[in-house]
Amino acid sequence: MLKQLIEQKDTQVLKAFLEDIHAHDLAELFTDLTQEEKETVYSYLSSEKLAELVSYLEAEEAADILTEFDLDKQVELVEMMEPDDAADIILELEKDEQEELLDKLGEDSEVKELIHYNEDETGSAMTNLFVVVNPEMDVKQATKKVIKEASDVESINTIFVADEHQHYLGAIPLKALLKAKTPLEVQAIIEDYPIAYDKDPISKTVQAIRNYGIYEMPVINEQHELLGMITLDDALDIYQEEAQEDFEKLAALPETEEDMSPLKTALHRLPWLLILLLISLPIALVTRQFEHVLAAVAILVVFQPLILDSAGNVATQTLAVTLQMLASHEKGLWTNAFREIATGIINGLAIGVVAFIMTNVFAFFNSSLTTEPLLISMVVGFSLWLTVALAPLIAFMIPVTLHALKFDPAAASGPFITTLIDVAALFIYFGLATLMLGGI
Amino acid sequence: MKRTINFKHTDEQLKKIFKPILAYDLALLYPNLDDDERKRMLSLIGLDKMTDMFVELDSDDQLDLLSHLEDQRKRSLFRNMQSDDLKEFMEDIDATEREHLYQHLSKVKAKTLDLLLAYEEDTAASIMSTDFIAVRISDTIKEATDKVIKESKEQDYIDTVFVLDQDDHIIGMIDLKDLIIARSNTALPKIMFDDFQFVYADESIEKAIQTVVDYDRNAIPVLDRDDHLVGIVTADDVFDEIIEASESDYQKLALISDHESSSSSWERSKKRLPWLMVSVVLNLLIASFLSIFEATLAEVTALVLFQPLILGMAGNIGTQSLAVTILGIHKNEMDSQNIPKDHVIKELFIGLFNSVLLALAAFVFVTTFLSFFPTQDQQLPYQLGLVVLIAVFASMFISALMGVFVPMIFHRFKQDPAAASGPIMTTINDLVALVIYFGIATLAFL
Repeated sequence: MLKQLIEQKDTQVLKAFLEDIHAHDLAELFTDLTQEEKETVYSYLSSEKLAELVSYLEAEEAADILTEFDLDKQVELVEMMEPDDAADIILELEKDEQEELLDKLGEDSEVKELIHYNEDETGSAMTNLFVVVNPEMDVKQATKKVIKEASDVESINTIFVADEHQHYLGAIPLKALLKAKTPLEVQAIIEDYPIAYDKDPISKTVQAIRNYGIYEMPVINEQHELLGMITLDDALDIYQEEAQEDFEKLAALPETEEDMSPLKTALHRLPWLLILLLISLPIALVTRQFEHVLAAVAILVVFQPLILDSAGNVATQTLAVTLQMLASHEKGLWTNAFREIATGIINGLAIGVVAFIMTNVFAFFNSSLTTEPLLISMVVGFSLWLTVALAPLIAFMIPVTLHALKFDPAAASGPFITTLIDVAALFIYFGLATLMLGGI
Repeated sequence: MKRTINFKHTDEQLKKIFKPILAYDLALLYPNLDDDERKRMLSLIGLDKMTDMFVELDSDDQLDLLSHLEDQRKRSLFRNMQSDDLKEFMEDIDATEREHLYQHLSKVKAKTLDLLLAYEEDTAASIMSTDFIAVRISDTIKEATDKVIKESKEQDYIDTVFVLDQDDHIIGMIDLKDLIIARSNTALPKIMFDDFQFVYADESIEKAIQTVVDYDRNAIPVLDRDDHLVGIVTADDVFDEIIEASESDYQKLALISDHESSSSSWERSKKRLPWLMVSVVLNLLIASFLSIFEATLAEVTALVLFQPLILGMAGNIGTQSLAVTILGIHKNEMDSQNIPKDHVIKELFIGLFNSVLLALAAFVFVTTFLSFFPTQDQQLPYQLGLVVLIAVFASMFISALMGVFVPMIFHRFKQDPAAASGPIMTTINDLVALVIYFGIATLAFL
């Protein structure tokens, strides 16, 4: 659609199209354009629309586009964007370009304050597009202020109240303000409202926005000064991104970027696979120690996947539960650990008994394979119970340790846990086999 | 936040204690109170706060709360609730209970509720609310403002106002802030925008979610096919839906269904055991099948050294392509009829490419390992290396294929694609991998 319009060179139509289209839709069409076509689009876009378009693109792509303009235009665009979007984009710029732009933006630019926050901190996603009123104002005065500033802000549904030192006091729903009859001071109708601190983890704030069912969350610092707010639409985007990341990490996937070439994506996923290959070294080494048992009782080999799989499944369950708790900063981690281990013992017992019975039946019908069906069934059943009971302990300790050492538990736990559990499971299985069947 | 409230205080003092506690936090508190404490709490907090708290409770506690209320207050509570919250509550309780509670609803509310309950699950209409403000295009600014400020109910969404023509068709929307700052002699069409985003009532929930997220709206209108406004989908409800969907995907990948941090060990065992059992039984079937290779295994014990390697590699690449496909299905809203060729071709290429590379790497790994740690049966390292190479390549590629196609097939038949991440897939992958591995070994060494 856009491509054809550009080809037709009908400036009138193209201009009208670009003005009418929603920035989100434009951003989707835009990524498919050639460099030349993109430049045509720039020349017909108003600065406002261009700023909107840039905000809807991925930060990296947006940064590339920003650098195509001279510094004055960059400043103009940045000032039109919401500060949190602008900050995300500026962080993607090269160091010197970043400094140049920030210098030019001037001292009291909101963007500058946001950039100091770590990506995981609530402060990094703040905007300041809201109306603040003073507690001593009369409601009529406050209403006037709201009307005066309304066109510059995103929403006037919630009005925040702060004193002359910027100290946050609470919020007023617009409806309450408009219904109040003068003379009445604003502080008489202040309502209690949730708050978040600028240094709080962003995931915690996002969760709070959901829990309290609010559209704007005011953000304050330790001195209780009102700094900005997080809006629900930003919270939604952040949540979606984080949820996808968690999902990818559980699947040992590196962060996916759309529109990467297949070859690049393949190479991107390769490191994890190679690491997972290398960690089978200790597994092979352990197995080697038990070669004589295996040579004597070859049938043991066919039950090995059963034991490793079961331990792996149980470990994944505990890992996922633990990661979720770590991510949402829930309390009760140790109670949870205890429950997980107890769950492992119960499930292990159930699985072990079933495996014992089934192995027995299996050995009964294939009596040529082994002379000791009962012993082998016992080895399989016991090993299952022990490994499934042990798996939660490992799957809990590793992420918690990584977390305490300030590593990302979600990214690093997988391979560690797989290796440790496989090694432990093999020791248990082949060790028990040596003990019980070694004499054969 | 964990709180404890000391109920020895007088009513006056307790009221002061409750005042700054937000409704959600009260809802966390509620299940831990005894009957008397619950009664006192309910009598000391305002209706609005009680409504907000009620919405956050789970079904059993909601019914318990109602049992503490007089009929008058029950009516007030229901009147004060958003229609979609009320619908959700009514949906979860059993039919006799529902009928019993219907008597506390106003006629209008009961009718709205019947309407909402009639919509099919998974449609945009099933998550919509009917608490919105509509104005006529012929209204003056003052009339419209009064509808929003004076005549609206507590639970109404007022941030955007919807504009209807004479025949109740929706023709535009007005942001509250534009309405408030408009001069009284402005005509409504001047401040209305008509290029708004919407969904039809019978479109999917995903469509509604995607529209809200993509266009950063706090609320979008839901229309019937004749362009009548029937409800709105608000961003906070969308947020709940997104959280639910991504948690369920995650839990399925991790083989934990409906996990709650509050559940005891017994409850956890009960929920997880079925899938684990399935996995165990399937694995035992594989084991019995593999016993036909017993002679090979007895002859070439070194085979067992690399069995976990092969299964692990196949499993990993399968999980990767599975996860990407599930994310792709959810994100791009691939509809079940048109399976995107690009995605399939790309994932197949990646599967092929990484399988080849990993197979080569595994060959190097095996030969090096065997030259450092020779085994008793003196097999040539290169021979065994080649067997592993073929087995790794074939099993990885097949597993990647399944990771792409199984969730897509599930999706096509309108099943949840995330259900493909179960133990059945793993087991099939294991079986394929081991048959290839032991099969080739049998050909090579016996």
